[in-house]
Amino acid sequence: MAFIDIFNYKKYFKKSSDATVARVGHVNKLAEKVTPVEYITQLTSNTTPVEINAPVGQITMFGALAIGSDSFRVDNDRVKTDSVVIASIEYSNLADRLDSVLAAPVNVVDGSFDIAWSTAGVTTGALKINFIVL
Amino acid sequence: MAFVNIYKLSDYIKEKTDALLARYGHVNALAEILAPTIGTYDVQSSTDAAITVPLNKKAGIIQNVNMAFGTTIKLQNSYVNENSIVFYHIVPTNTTELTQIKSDLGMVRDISNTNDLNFMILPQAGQRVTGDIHFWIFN
Repeated sequence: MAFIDIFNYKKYFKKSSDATVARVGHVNKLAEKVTPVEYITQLTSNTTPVEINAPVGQITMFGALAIGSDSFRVDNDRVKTDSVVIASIEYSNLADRLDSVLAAPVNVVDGSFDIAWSTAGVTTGALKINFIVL
Repeated sequence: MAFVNIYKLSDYIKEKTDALLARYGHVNALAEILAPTIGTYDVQSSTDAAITVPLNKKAGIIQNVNMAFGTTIKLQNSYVNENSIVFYHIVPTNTTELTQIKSDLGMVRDISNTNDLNFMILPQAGQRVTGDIHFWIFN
């Protein structure tokens, strides 16, 4: 028969577990910084605002871009005035290297940022905008 | 003094420990997202028009690229799928290069293979670009 002081053991185990749960709580907050990933497709036109409330996401633009420049608003409740927004552009076709297409995040404010784009040629297809909000 | 069934206590501890380990599995997954192992592949300033880079890491550096308009660098990476969110940019060789670069780096999926990405140069002035391509694949 083994002897054990069950009251002290339970106390120890509870303390240890509570500390671990507290750590996991921090991890959950950390996870919320980068998840979930969400996807959205722009409707109507290449200037139509989109809403995507996520720290990481992908916006598929409405369609091929005509020559010119413009922008559209991305409503996102994760965005603050001092947020860092990083965006990378995914082109639809290798042929789009001919078109000198540029796109970048601008006008970062509470609740939204804009994606500004310009192109010197008609693109083959719609751009995809990959972004992360820090 | 209370009596305790040491075997039941052991089962209880195992159950709690397994639950915690399961949570730490998520922690490891999160760490893999935020702090992935970074791989490198050196293309050694090759001026070939089509270069293939097999590099199976979620983040990495394609070192010493020397790209002109028409060059494609194909990244073969098993982490890439049709839903991947890919961030990338080029780090020029040096600050002098910055004043010379009038071209930008672009990326397009390979339509024949969802594990492949193609990096390409967008020609604003047709300048050659040298440096390192940094990428991060977010799934």
